[in-house]
Amino acid sequence: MRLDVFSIRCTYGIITALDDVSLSVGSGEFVGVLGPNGSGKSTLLRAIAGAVRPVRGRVTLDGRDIREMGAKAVARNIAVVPQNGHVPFSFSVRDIVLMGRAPHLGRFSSEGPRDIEVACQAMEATSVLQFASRSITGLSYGERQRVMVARALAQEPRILLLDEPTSHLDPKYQVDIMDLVWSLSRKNGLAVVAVLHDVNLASQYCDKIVMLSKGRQVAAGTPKDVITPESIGDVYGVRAVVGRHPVNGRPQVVLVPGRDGCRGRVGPVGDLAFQSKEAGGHERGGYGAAEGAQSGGWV
Amino acid sequence: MGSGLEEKDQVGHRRAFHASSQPATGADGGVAGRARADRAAAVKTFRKMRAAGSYVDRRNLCLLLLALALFVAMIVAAGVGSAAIPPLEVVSILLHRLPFIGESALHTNWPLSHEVILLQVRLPRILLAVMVGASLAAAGVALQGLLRNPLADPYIVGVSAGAALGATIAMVAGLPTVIMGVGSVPIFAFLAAVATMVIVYSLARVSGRLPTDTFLLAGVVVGSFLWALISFLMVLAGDDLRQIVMWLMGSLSNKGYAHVKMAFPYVAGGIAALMVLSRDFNLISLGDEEARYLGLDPEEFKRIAILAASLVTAAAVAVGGIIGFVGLVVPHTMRLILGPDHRVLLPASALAGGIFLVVADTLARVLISPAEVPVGVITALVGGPFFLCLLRRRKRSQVL
Repeated sequence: MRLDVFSIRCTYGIITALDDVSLSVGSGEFVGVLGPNGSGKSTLLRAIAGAVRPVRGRVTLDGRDIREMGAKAVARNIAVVPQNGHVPFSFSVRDIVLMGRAPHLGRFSSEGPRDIEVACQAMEATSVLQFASRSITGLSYGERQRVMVARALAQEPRILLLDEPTSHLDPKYQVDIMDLVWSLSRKNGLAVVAVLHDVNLASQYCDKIVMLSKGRQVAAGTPKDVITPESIGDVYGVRAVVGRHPVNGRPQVVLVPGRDGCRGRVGPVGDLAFQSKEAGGHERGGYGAAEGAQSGGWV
Repeated sequence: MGSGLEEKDQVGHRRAFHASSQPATGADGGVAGRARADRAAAVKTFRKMRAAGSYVDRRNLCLLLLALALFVAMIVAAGVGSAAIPPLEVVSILLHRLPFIGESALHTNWPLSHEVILLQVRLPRILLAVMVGASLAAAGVALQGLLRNPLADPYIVGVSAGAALGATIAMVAGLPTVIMGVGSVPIFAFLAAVATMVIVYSLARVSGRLPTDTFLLAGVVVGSFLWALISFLMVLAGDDLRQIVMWLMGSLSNKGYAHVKMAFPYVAGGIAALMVLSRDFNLISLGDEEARYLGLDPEEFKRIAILAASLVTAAAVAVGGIIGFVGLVVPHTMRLILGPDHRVLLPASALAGGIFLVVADTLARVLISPAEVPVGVITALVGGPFFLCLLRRRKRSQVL
């Protein structure tokens, strides 16, 4: 399974939202899309899902242009977890998750035992099975987000797109959702493309990161290559220090406040406070624990 | 990555996802066992909820009850009026007209006048009430779901204003009262309604898309414009004014089988189309974009759904005038009782709309008999308070 985005350009009227952006993701890969507000992150996701038609370039699924595939066929392969899980009518969680089976059903058929089984498993994987008969409108934001992931899984997609899945969530739910998606990509070979707000979270989970600014791709590669003080400074317009995560050595960004960066100093500076002995043996240690522990200083 | 490997990956993934919760082999002890049992219980509950009671059957039962209630309402309504006919006699007269059961099985011991009143006067009117009520309610459900707006009703897209203008023109111009057996008014109303639909639709279209808000606004604006034209014509109308006002308030009096025949193809075809689309209405009610992510082309769907809902409304308004509240109150009532699943909501609302209008129309003709109250007045007078009661009770019983 391979999804390729070939130098697409998307416009809304006279505004160019995305220009010359390319991306490629295969089974089991986790790709993050970073960028400030209005950089075209969501447009990229919508273009991949077929909701926005690129005026130039193309999006292909195993070499087939998705424009030739039809909405149903696309939805059987690509599932989207939308940004706001707002549902205007009080559907039950079960109804919502079963809607994920829609692309697999014919015009006159209704859900069979297998569809229910798949929906059940999806709800179990996201631990929302206990809410099955509750109304979606009565759930908290974090629970609703998990229902949306369950619905996406019920589509049995091969590619999962997430639009800022962790915004508005408590830290626990942020980690829960990201852990869940990460393990799905590893265990089931799902290809994941996630638009993320949080650079540090992206660094923790992504194999590759694409960084957008003003609709253009400014960097792409591993988190280590992409997340640098320079790129953060250019793209987000803030001063930042990039260090290493004390547990797994992945790059972590710390923002520097104000102009002189010494506002309200409360302790000794530059003491590499995050160094830790637990660095070894973490399952997600993409860059090797040794590297992290040995040179875990700020760049 | 080689293509062979990728192929295997895919298969592996698909299988892995389904198999992920198969009983774990090997002796990983009691924890896994308990987890497995928990899961089995949850799945069982889920299946049970769906299979028995709460999910499908309860809703099917509701549909069955509604159908039964509609039948009873029609029979009772057919007996009510200046000449009272007992329900059993109504059934006998109707059975007697059926081709195979025929005269042999039944004694024809009822007055001929009853048969004439029933078959020539009341039956077409009741059939019309069922059709109009079902149409307005079904179109209301469809448009509320499609526009994701609880205030939407069949008239919001301007179709009714178009129909009203057509009817007004026909009345003011004094066109021949009988064309094709139904008179010029319904035909003009229908044609004008369809024309309005086309105008609103093309006004709201922006580069191949139909944004929901634009469509709503275009409908409201075109509607207001047409109502202004109608007011202007009414000032000029003179003697026809009373007739126009009565038509605008909605009435099913003085209608015959010709009207039933005229409206039937559009009503039946349109409602059938909406039913076929009912699952897609669930998807579109989440939003255009989410519907697309779930495999529905929203633009294509909106085209078909709006066409169906508008045709149904146009036919209903052409024969019944502008009967308010049915298309707003009935869908909301049914949604409060049965939930938002359009696969149940659409047929249930159609049936309930039929019941509601049969009852309202019967009241309309007997309340101040021999005069008649316009049925639109009854629907608003009865429907409004009833709906408010339901809404209040629901709000109290829900934590939300």
